[in-house]
Amino acid sequence: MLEIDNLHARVGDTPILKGLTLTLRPGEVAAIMGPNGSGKSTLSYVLSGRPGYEVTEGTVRFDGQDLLAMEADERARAGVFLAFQYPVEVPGVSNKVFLKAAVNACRKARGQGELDAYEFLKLFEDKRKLVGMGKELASREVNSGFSGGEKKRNEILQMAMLDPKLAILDETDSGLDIDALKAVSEGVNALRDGERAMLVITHYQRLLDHIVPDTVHVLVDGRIARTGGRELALELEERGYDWLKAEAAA
Amino acid sequence: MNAMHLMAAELAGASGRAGEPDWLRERRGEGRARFEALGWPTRADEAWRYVKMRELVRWGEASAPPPDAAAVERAMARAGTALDGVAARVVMVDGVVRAEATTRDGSAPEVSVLPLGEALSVVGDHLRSSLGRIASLTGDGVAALALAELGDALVVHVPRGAALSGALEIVHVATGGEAGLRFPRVFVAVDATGELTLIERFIGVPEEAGFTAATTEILVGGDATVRHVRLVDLPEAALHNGHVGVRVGRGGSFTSYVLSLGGRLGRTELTVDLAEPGASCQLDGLYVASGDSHFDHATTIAHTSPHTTSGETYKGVIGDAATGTFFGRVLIREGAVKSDTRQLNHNLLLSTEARVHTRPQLEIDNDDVKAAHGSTVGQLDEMAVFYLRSRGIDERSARGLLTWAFAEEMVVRLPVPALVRELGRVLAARLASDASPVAAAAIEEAL
Ligand SMILES: Nc1ncnc2c1ncn2[C@@H]1O[C@H](COP(=O)(O)OP(=O)(O)OP(=O)(O)O)[C@@H](O)[C@H]1O
Ligand SMILES: [Mg+2]
Repeated sequence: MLEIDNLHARVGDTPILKGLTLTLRPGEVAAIMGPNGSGKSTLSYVLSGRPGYEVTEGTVRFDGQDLLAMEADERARAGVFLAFQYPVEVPGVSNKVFLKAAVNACRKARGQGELDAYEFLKLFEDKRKLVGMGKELASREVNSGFSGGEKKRNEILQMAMLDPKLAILDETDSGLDIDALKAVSEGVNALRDGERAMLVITHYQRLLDHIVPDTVHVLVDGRIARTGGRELALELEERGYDWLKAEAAA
Repeated sequence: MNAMHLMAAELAGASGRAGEPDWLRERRGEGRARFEALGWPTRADEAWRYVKMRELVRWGEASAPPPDAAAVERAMARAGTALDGVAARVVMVDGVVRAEATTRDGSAPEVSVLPLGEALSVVGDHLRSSLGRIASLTGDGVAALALAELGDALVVHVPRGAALSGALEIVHVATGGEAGLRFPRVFVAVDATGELTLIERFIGVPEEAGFTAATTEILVGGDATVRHVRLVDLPEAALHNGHVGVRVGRGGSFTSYVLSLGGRLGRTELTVDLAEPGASCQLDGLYVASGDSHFDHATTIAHTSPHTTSGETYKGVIGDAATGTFFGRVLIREGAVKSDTRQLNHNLLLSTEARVHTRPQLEIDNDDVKAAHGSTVGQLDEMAVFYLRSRGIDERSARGLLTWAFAEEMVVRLPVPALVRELGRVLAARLASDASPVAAAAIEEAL
């Protein structure tokens, strides 16, 4: 599904990813953990095609295609979804207008036929309930004036609407209260279907109690420093990152 | 009029027309004298500072010869049909009323909509006291020239308490032609408690270049309500200079919507005198400039009486190598105590070559007022563009949607729903284009 091989990337003049290799099978849920500034969000931006993130070496294949050769919007239509660590406010554009444009762009590219107003609203209502988002909130301008937690929930609503093959969740848990964490996790779990792959970036073992990963990768200084199962997250919780940083430096 | 002006008027030999009153001939003379005194504006005039004057002056100082039959036919073919919600409609070609195209429903027969010649006997008092004096004799040299060259005009009179069942739409079609100017003129008097929504649309024939210097004068009576939409959407090569002069009486309310969408040069100068206590105005504007268009807006709001209120919001979207300017003056005179004004100008630049000049300006002669003003110049938020693209929306559509989001509030507040839809479509096509049906569909949906 996703094969990242020896990926080097920089932002401006600063190299940030330094030979990252990682693969993801269809249906696999992999957690990515790692210290602040190790390159987790950079990886998510490189995979989703944010301008200004320059790949200097390595390859990324997605579903057999060269992901790096595609524009950001092409990648989204091909099934890559990023839940942003800091979702962007888009004043003046209503969430519904935005989502309808996005859903139909994706459906069209996938040969599924566009949704009419009625079909769209039905899907919207289903998914809104799935992620436990209020009716009023869901209809407002995109993320505009949303609280931190509301923004995260809106990311999951978008993911549910767009039905991606690969979902990258960048710290979707941070800023969520306990109930919201549960609701969002349930939303995410409901979208685990044995086909959809997920990269779940998080700092907290707690999230992994709700969204149980198949694999845990630790990103240190732009590389995967260790890969393991669930127990690796527990070990990190106890020991911190210093031992891995020391290993990586050696 | 002073003696000097009179003499100059006589010297200029202001031409009269058979059967017209002396005052009208004299009024032309006043315009001529004022033009001789002021001359053509120069770049030293604040409101003309960014205009390439050389391009204008070559059009001369005289009226263009009347269009031939074929040119009139081409113009009439552009005039289109009435919008929903329009009660009366008049088409003028190069300032001449085309009677055959006038349509009107049966509402409020006491409201008169007539060419100048016929209006003199009906609305003579208003015309005599105010024609040319609200805009042409307070404006610059071009406004004065328009009065000197006064030919036909459309005169609208809404008597006390009257109102049409819908808007009055005036379609001004300009023909092309290399020499001379076209001077369309509209004079509107709405008496006490009367109401009028006026749509003036300035269009032209594709590929034809001409220079229009239009004048609109509006008298808003006590507790009367006037809404004025001024839409300039001329062909690429056409030039347009418009003067709008408004006087608002006691408790009267005037709302203006200026839309600059097309043409090489599009200027609108708008002066509102809040002349009596309780008068108010709201001036809104939207300019969408692309190619190498230059759209200029110079507004003056004069608070000359106590308890007068004004608001102004202009927004500009400027792309390619286009230029947009906003020069907004608010004058609060000494006696205009307890006045309130709020003025905003926001601009969105879509390219690195696009230019904007913005200058809100407050001149306050008393300290018992509330006044606020501000202006901004910005670009699209690139992070928002990426956010939309990361959801599958193509780049053009993403930019179109965000641009529309910026402009939308100025469109949806237009007073005629059919005009909101029309403008939405025009902008969807312009901002989003056929290349991005996603944005066009989203804009359609938002209306
Ligand atoms: N535009 C930029 N210019 C220079 N350096 C940048 C830029 N953007 C990010 N960086 C740097 O890249 C490094 C990796 O940042 P990134 O956001 O990927 O870290 P992260 O692992 O997601 O951290 P966190 O856990 O805090 O979210 C950081 O040192 C950051 O300062
Ligand atoms: Mg991060």
